[in-house]
Amino acid sequence: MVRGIYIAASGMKLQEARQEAVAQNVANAETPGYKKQRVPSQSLGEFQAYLVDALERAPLGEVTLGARPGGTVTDFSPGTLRRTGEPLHAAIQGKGFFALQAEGGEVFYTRDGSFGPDAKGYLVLWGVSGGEEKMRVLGRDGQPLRLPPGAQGAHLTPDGRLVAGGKEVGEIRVVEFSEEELRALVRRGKNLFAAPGEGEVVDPRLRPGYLELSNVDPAGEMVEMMALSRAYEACQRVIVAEDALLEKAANEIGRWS
Amino acid sequence: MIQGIWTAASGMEAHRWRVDAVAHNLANANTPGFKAQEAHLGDGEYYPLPDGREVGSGVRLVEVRRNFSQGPLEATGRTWDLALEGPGFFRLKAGESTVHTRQGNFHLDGERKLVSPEGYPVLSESGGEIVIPDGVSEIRVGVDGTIEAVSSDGSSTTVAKLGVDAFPNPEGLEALGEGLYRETEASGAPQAAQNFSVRQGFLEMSNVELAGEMVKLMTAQRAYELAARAVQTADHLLEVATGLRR
Repeated sequence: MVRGIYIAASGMKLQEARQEAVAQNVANAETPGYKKQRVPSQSLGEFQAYLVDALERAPLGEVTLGARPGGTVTDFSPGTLRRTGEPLHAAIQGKGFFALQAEGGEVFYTRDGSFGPDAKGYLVLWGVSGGEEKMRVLGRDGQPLRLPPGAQGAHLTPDGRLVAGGKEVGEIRVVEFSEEELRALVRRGKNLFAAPGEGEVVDPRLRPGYLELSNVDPAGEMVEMMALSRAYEACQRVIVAEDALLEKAANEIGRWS
Repeated sequence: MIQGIWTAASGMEAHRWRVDAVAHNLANANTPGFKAQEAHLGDGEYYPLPDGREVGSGVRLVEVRRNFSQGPLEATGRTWDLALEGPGFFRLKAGESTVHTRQGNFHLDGERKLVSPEGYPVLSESGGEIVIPDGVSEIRVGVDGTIEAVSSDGSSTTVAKLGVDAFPNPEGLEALGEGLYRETEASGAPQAAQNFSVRQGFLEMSNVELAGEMVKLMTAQRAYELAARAVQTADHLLEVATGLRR
């Protein structure tokens, strides 16, 4: 009987975890390149229960131990596109990621293509308006893309070439990951992912002048919120009911008056 | 308490910043030379948990960017209304330092010096102040910024050439208000601009696109509501949990 309380409590904890994922999604509903996350539920396992007394051992059926969050799953489906008209902004068509390099040399991946030049002419994701952290955009050859000094009219082309002053300066690196590698991507914040592998360099297909927004779908998040709060309430009712049974067992059985 | 309530609250805050940026742009929709701003968001840090989850901490305002795209030109017919088409900034002298602007509604002060509306002298290509001689019947400003004074007998003399500077990264400039910008480490050092033309008798209006701003306002408002719902949901969970023991 007491087991029921713990099973229902595990269900409440699971719904809290789902709510955390929903909160993260709605907070980032307008973040460029954000990919929504979900918390799938995982059964804690089932076992066969038996009634055992002095005379016989009879099967009672299967009993579960409850549920727990089964990690975080990221939905890499494409987000909506918004036109910005900025010549150095680009959205990736298809499954790839842009590759970025931090100043320490570490490589990150992103779908946020709101690039701009920094003071040294490097194409960067962050730090365009003077921020501390700079993420340099890598070229196909693995070297950071850099605009020549004084170059004007720099823009990206649909096939991923960086053109400045009428001349091609470099080609942007776009990498694709296999399903397995995608699952292993780690979120690092600021629209960046870290990958254990290097992925496969592919021919870029871009939409210059556009940004990919998040793939968060407001209706889906609302439905998820309704479902999880009802499930939470249901688990709570079970605990209250179990508690009432315990009360009876403790206080009323065996009372004689 | 549960993390989700704070995560969702960070979303409300971020969407409010976006509304602030839109409000600032709309307020300056008619300011000559104004450049639209936009809040650039990034997701917050993630905390890995032993159960394999990556719990996010919401959203952060990483930087506010200014869009330096060309604004539309409006004909005013005034001699000293100068608009820049293409990249670059006019050079002004503010005290000891040099500042830059794209707001070209200049005039002559009492000493016939070319100055900005704030009274800062406009500087020439060689870095000097520009003084227009007396007894001039017409002023012509060429597309390259050359100022020519035509006297009453029809002869013209070149007075000066306007200094027009470009920056490797204009988005890194520090905004001083009144349409003035100062060079920073992020913007890089000014260099002579190329591919620009100066239009006399025109003003560059603000590059705020009203329709785009209105859509941004609406999406920010809805995203705010959605985040507020997530805060409510988290609060509801807490309420249900507290109701366990009556």
